[in-house]
Amino acid sequence: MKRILIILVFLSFFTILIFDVPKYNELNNISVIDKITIKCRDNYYDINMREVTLLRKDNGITFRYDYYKNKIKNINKIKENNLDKYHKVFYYDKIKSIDTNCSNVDDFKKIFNNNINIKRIKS
Amino acid sequence: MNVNRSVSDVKSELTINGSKDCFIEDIDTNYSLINKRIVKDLCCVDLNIGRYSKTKIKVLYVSSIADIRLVNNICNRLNNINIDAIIDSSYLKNSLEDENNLFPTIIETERPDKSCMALLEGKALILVDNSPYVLILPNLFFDFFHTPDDYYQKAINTSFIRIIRLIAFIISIFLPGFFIAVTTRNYNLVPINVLLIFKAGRAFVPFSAFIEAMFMIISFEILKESDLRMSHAASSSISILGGLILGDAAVAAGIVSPIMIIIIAISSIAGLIFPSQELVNTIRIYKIIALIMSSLFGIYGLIMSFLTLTYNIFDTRIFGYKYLDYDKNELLDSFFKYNTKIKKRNSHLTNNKIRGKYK
Repeated sequence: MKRILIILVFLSFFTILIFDVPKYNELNNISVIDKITIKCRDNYYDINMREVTLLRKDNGITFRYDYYKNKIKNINKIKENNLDKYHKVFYYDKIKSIDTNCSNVDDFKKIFNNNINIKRIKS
Repeated sequence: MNVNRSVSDVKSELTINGSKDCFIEDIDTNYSLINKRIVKDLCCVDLNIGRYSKTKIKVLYVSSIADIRLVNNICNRLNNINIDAIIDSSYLKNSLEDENNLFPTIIETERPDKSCMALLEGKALILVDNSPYVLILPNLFFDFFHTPDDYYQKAINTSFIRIIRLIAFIISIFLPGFFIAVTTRNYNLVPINVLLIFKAGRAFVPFSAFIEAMFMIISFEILKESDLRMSHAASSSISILGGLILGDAAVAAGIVSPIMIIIIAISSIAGLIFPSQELVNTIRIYKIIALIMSSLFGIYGLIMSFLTLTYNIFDTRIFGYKYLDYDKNELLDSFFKYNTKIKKRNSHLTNNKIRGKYK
């Protein structure tokens, strides 16, 4: 038993050193974002995020959508949760599509996912 | 006056085919049940252990198969026991196995056919007077995935069932930890629809996933223990009460989520597939280790607990034999059963490798 505990401590130490362990968040506290609208303005980006929540009702499963707005200057910092006003942690890794009027769509693919669906919209 | 009960049906290690008789508390009857099946070369070492009980103990082995060093090793350890009384065969386990090993290395059985199969593999048996359980040693890792039924069926059926047992072993240890990792740190491991279902299920639960899982595991263990100790009449009431409270009422009250009940129930039931209570206890310990490591480090914690489990399995030894060792004959009868023309024994346990020709 002692050897097992020593091995666990040893592995834990190296795991913390080598790997970036994801932050702890309960599912209740995160908002799963499935769609983002990014509008390029003069010197900032207008972000509109859509959170999806599954609801069980008597007639089956439905989805509820909530919208959150944000304005940022540097698109690379979109994933940093500076939305303290909403008291939520936004989870961006399940985004399915981005609606945008910007030209730099390659940047969006680098930030989110290379396979993400990008749709052009008017300003 | 004869105070012994008669030979009855097996209570715990049930099988579909095979004999149904079981050992009783009388050592001479138990010896007869074995001698009835193995007539040639069956040797016995008689001992008396216990200052007050002078309990009769028999160490059985087949002289042409078993390694005499194993038998001598066992007898030496038994002779060194200085105890007031031996009430049951489990008392001997403390002296024969290493307490630091989490995995059980000695198996108890009440089946004569399983005991005789072990003798023919080169293992030794310890019969203890006043105990209906016989000790088989050394017990290796693959032996926990085998039942007597495996040798009464076709190889393909046996292989399928053994793979199911292996899957049950993995599920029972790692499923709760995997769920905790996925719902607290590593959301990217599941598709979005599954993540949303988990989120919907836990919407009104006030506790963290780890606390919820520990609550369910402890509740399940309390239910299992009370079901074991109560009489048959009361145990059905306890099962219904536990199922209603743990299932329906707890979910309706929003204390636990339905998905957590499913996860813990599947992992607990998967652990009960093994007849050895010692292995079930080991699985429970590793389940909790995996749970704690997953909540601390996510999927990396789960991998760490897997590495620790693997290390423990490979590091365990019993009487100098490795718990998990490479042997071609043993591998052909491990997680699957492969029928060969000439059946052979584990070369680490015995020099008499040829069992016989079956075709």
